[in-house]
Amino acid sequence: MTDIDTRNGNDAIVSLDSVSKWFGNVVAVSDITLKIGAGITGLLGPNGAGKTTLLRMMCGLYSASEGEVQLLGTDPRTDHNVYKRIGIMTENESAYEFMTGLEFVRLSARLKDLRREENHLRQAIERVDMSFALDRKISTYSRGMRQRIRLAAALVGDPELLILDEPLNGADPTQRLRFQEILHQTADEGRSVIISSHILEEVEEVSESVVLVVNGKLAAQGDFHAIRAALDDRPYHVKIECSDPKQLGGELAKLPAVHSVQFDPDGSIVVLTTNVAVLQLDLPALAQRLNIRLTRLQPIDDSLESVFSYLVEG
Amino acid sequence: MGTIAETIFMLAIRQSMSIRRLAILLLLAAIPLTIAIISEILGTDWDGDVTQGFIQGLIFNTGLPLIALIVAAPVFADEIEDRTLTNLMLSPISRWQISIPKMLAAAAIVAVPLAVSTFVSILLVFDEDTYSAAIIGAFGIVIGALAFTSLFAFVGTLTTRAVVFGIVYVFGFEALISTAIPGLKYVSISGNTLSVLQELNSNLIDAPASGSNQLPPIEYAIIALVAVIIVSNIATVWRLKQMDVH
Repeated sequence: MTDIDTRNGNDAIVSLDSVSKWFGNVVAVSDITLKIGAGITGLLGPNGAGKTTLLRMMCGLYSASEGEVQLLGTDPRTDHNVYKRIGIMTENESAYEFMTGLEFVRLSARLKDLRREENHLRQAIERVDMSFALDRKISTYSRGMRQRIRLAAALVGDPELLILDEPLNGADPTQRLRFQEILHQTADEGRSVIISSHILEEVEEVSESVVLVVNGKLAAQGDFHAIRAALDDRPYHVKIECSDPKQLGGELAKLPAVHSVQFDPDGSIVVLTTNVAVLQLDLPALAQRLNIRLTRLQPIDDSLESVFSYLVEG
Repeated sequence: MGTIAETIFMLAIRQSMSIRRLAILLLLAAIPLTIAIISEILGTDWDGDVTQGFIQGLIFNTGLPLIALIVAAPVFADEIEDRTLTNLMLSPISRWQISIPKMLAAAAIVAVPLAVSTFVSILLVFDEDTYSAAIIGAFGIVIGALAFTSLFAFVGTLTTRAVVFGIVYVFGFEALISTAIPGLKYVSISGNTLSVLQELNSNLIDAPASGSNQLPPIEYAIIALVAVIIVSNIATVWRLKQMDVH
């Protein structure tokens, strides 16, 4: 096994070389080559993009139909010792319902053959604030509690790499904040995290580096802020409802930030802008000057899918 | 048994101990014992054919494979369906460290109640060399349980409908076809198990030297049973290595 030191920040913790995965005639992941370094990396993509398939191949749960997967310098399908260094939380709620929370985390510790098991258990459980419900059966837990106890099981033994598939699904705002804190703490300790999500903002809050996957293909990879800036410069449709669409539409067409103006049959205006930040400032000022009341402002292609299509189509 | 193997063994025991499954298991295991007790109370005098039908037909050709099926087929199939298998597959342990303890746990759950039931039943219904026959009968349950659970646990890694396949196999092949067509006892786990018992105590298992109920020779039976156990477990490990875990 080639040892990778994830804490020096130089080596790839995950390396995919021309990796594809298909199930029958369905291609889930197509010819992806990438390297993921240390730190927190967000794996971003719309639902059905292939994120979970990609993560499962990284973890060794799926074999690659083609290509080579390396996790911490080794093939996780054949070298199971690598799991001693990794904590993994899969997307589905795969906890044993008949166990208590403590028993489930203890199972994870035992399977990793950890010494000083009780210390590891206590640390992991305290970290996710689940000490209060340790002796309750998992079948009685809420979805958020299940996610937290599964995170505790992944954290047990202080793994150097955490792989989390949609961990914030079903979490309430408080739990989301706690999750984010834990991820930042983990990164501050020099550990690495790969976290998947279909929500742009969710990833933005925790990771600087992102991997964008669309339709099973790698759409972009790199610094989150650079990608976000590219997104901000893209053409953007905004639907506006107001008290005088004709007058406002005419004036909007004169603004440098506005590329075109369309009038919808329902009486609203659809503006295509190449600089949404400027439009956000100019529009209220213009409406105030013309004494027009704005009743609704709706970005109509702000969905992640449209962002991804834009990136993919260049 | 090491800590990890012990952990997985105990996990498999707990998974198999759902109240419904436990009730079915105990009910089926108690059938031979119940018949034997009622017969004893009524003072029924069993002739040779009835005794052989009781031991071979009821216990070894039907009861043992059916209980093994109910316990062993879900050992992996349930984990695959519930998506809990990831907890084991993402652990730093070899695949045989997952499969062997699970198979042994299933075999133990099958063997303990049925061996007790068989032991007491033979004590009650058998006339000659009773104590030795009862011990050998219980021993046969252990051997058969190992072979059947190995096979059914493997089938459970192939399909979540392993119980359906198993019911067809148990009632269609083990209980019916293998006892009706000469030569098929050679490929029957029950037939080979009975051959071992016959070698140990020819009074306990009294099979004809020819015809459809002729048992395979002892040398063949031992090799066949060992082969079923080894090949099924190797196949399970192979399957765990190959499969995509959802």
